[in-house]
Formats: sequence, structure tokens, C-alpha cells
Amino acid sequence: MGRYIARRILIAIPVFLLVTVIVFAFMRLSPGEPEVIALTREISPSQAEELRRELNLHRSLPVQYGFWISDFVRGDLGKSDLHEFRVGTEIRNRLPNTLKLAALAILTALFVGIPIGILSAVKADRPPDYTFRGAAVLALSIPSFWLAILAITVPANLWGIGPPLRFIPWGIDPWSHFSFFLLPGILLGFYLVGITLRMTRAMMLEVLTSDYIRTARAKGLHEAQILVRHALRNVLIPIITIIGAQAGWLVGGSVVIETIFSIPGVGAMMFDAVLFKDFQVVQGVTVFLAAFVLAINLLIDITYGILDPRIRLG
Amino acid sequence: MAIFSRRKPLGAVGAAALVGLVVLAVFASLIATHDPLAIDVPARLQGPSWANLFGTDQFGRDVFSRIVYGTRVSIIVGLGGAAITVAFATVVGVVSGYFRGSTDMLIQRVVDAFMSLPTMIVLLMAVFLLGKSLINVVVVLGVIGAPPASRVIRGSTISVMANQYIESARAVGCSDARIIIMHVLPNIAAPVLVMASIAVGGNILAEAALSFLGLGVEPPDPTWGNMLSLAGLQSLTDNPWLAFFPGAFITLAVFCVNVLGDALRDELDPSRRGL
Repeated sequence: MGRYIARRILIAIPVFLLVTVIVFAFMRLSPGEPEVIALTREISPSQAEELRRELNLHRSLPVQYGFWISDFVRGDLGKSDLHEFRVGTEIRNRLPNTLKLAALAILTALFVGIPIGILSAVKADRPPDYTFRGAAVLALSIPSFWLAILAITVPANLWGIGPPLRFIPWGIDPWSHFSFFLLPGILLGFYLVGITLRMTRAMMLEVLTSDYIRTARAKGLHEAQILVRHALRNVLIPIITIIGAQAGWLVGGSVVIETIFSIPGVGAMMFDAVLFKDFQVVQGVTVFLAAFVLAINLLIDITYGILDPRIRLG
Repeated sequence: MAIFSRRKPLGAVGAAALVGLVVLAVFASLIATHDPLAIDVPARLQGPSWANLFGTDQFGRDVFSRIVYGTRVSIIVGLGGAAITVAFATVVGVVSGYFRGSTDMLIQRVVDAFMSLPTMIVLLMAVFLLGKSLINVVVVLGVIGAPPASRVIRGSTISVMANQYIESARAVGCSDARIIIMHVLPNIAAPVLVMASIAVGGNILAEAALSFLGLGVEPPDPTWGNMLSLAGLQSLTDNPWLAFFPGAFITLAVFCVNVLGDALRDELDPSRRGL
């Protein structure tokens, strides 16, 4: 077990370094160098000079990378070009909001996707199954920003009400804070519901034809008991894995949802930085999010290995 | 073709809809009832009517015509991006799966690295560095979609390599290039086609989100995403037809592509059926 975990981590380190090299190369070698970007924003010569010094632009590229990566692993992602914050600190302040949003999306996926997926498998190739499968594809096809627009415009037109669009911090009113997150979280989860439903259905169909399920039926167990205690248990691991694999998608989706509902999260931070040309923030957030996704994948790999010896030893 | 449409009627409907969208994109100038850019202030914010099928926007432009022209962007991004994805993913996946060993190990770590970069974030970074342009969006979506697709193609290549005809080809002295072109590629065509169809829908959604955020194709040129722009959220609330039609087209297009992709996968790659 220890060997398996050690091996996974050892593989992850060079991959992480590779990600940082890719982001760094993108940011420094593309036609839009920092100075050029700074120029389009018309910053003062002294600000430009400060940016150059901050980024070590007078040194060679490998040296620049060395400085940057050593700062990064110590948690220093540089300083915003526009605001007074340090990128690392700002991410730390905003991350809880993005995580709450993602958690609500995942919960929605589990609580809606799994039961319907099971029902779909039980009723396989009958009308309810067709309906649920169609709904799942629809969930994968609707853009989350359109869902958000509908959620805002439809109630406004029918009943003259709408969801709150002004962010309420936890400190002011925890309950309103939570209820504010509810709608954006569910909207972000729609796509994941589609994925979870399809995965649950496919895995259940496979499991339900296995010998031990026939044994359970032969013993005279209740169908509900068979489904939940015997079948579902074996299906849960791959479902959690496939949701975990959507971490990158969740990060991207949070950009859109956070921007619409003006939630101060990491996704909205990235969007603002792109809009207002904040070089250090774009670079810092990108590499942070990549490292974050990588860490989630590593965690899932390890968990999977612990839960399923076939993966560990195969 | 006929057999496919009998066995997978829904898939055939999806395929027909996709063809319909391509026709809409190609013949946009014939199908559109108005000039998509023509501003007509007196006729602004009219609801759907016979003169303006889907109504008019805040500048009095015809929404139906703008949607018809917007199809072009979605089709270019969807199909163009998928073509780039398939080209890269096939080369990387086949090389990795064919040669195995240290080449495979190395390539797969690079693939790991790219796969940890969220698509939307890379898109935003590209807009930041290279500016807003359709061609950037197509290329970035194509390239960033390649690593995960190459994983699937690598897997298919490895399973093809276990066949006896590969061993025979090697025994009679075929070169690597010949084996890959004559024996491996034709046998992985099915998963490649399935990957392509999956990429089309994802690309259309990603471009629409980017345009919605105001970072895609610049107005006044219409795209389905920028017709719903974040900046105009208030006028969407007051004039629901502005919010409804572009979003419905995005959903319909992606739905049809996904249904087609599912049908293709069921027929061509049965081991992944239903996923």
C-alpha cells in the first residue's frame, strides 16, 4: 500500500513541474509579453518597470522560471498588478466560496443523479428509462449560463420575483449566505447530474446481471435491499471517481456561474483578471488551479487504490 | 446508412439536425430574412411576429437572422476544433500506444500535465495573451481537447496491437509506418469518430460560454453566446424572447450532436455502451 501511494506521488511531482513549465512558457513566450499587455492597458512607465522587476524580466528565461517556481512552492504567487493584494492571499480568501459552490454542485449530482440512474437501470429499455436518458443528455447539452439566465428571467416574468444577485457574506447572515449559494450550486450541478445519471445506469446494468445479485435474489431478499446494499455499493466507487474527474470542468463552470451571481470566488477572480489585464493574477490563478486539479486527481487515484486492490496491484 | 437510421432512429435525427445546422451556416445569407447587423431603432425590442420570427433586440436587429448567422461560429468552432483534436489525439495516442515503453511513459506524463489544465481557464488565458478572435478559440479548443481524447485512442491502439494480424505484419517485415497506416489506423477509426462527435458538442458549449462572458467573437458579429451577453442581462429579463431563442439553439445543437455521438458509440464501440 505504502509503495503504491509513494509511486503515485512520485509520478505526480514531474507532472506538476511540467504543468508549471507549460503555463510559464505560455505566459512568457506568446506574442503578448507582459510589457505589451501592460501597454494596451496604458500603465505608467514606473508601473511597467515595477512589473518587469517583479517578473525578473531582465534575466534569462530559465532563471526567471527558477525564481518563479521557487516562489510558487513557498506559496508566493506574486502581487496583483492592479490591486493591493498578493495573489496567494486573495486565492486563499476566495477559495472557500468556490469550494462551497462545487460542493453543492456535487451534492446535487449525487442526490439527483444516483436515484434516477438506479431507477433508469431497473426500468431499462422501457419508457421511464428513455425519459431519464433523454433528460440526462439534455442536462449535458444545456449551457449553465443559459440555465442561470432562465432561472433569473422566468420567475421575474411570471411572478415578478428573482433570486438574490448580490452576494451575502457569511459574517453578515449565515443563513442568507447559504441560501444565496443554493441556486448557483444547483445550476452548476446540472451537467454533473447528467454524467452521474448515465454512469450510475451503466454500472448498475452491469452489476445487476452478476452472479452475486442472482444469489441475493435466490435467497429471497427484497428488491430494494438488493439494489441498495448489494448493487449500489459496488457502483459508488466508479461514480465518485468520474465526478472527481470533472474537477477541471467544475473549475471552468465556476467562472461562468460566479460571474453571473457575483460570487467572490477564484473563477470570478480569473475572469476579472483577464478582463482588466492583470498579468500576475492570470498566471497565478492558472497555475494554482492546475495544481489543484492535479491534487484532486492524485487523491482520487490513491483512494481508488485503497478501496480496490485490483488497481493497486494491477 | 439506412441500417444505422433503422437501428438508431434518435442518432439519425441527430445526424439530420447536424446537417441542417451546416446548411444553415453555409446558406446563412439565403435563409436569413434580414441583415443581421442592420440597426432599426424604431423597431427595437419587438416580440416575435411574422415580420421578425424571433423578435428584435435592443438595436432593432432581427434575432432570427442573427441566430442563423451565429450558426456559422458554432459550426466552425464545433467541427474545426474537433478536427484539430482528432488530428493531434490520433498522432499522440497511436505513437504512445504503438511504441509503448519509455516513449509511452513520457508522452503520458505530458498528457497528464495538459489534462490538469481546465479548458475554460486555458481559453481565458489564451484570450488574455492572444486577444479575442475566432481562430484562437478554435485552435485552443482543438489542442486542449486532444490530451483526453488521445488517452482513449491510445487504449484502442493497445488493444488493436494485441491482434495476430499485427504480429503477422511484423513477421513479414512491414515497417512501423506501414503497420500503423495500413493496420492500426483503419482499426481505430471507430473510437476516433466517437471522440470527434463528443468534441463537437463540448466545443460549441465552451465557445458559447466564452462569448457570453464577452471574451469570444466581438459584437456586433452575432454568435449564439454573445446574443445572451452578460452585459445585457437586464434586457434579457425584460424581453424574454431575447433570452430564449439563442439558448434554445445552443441546447438543441449540442443535444443533437450528443445524441448522434451516443448512437455512434453504441454501434461502433459497444464496450462503452450507455456511459
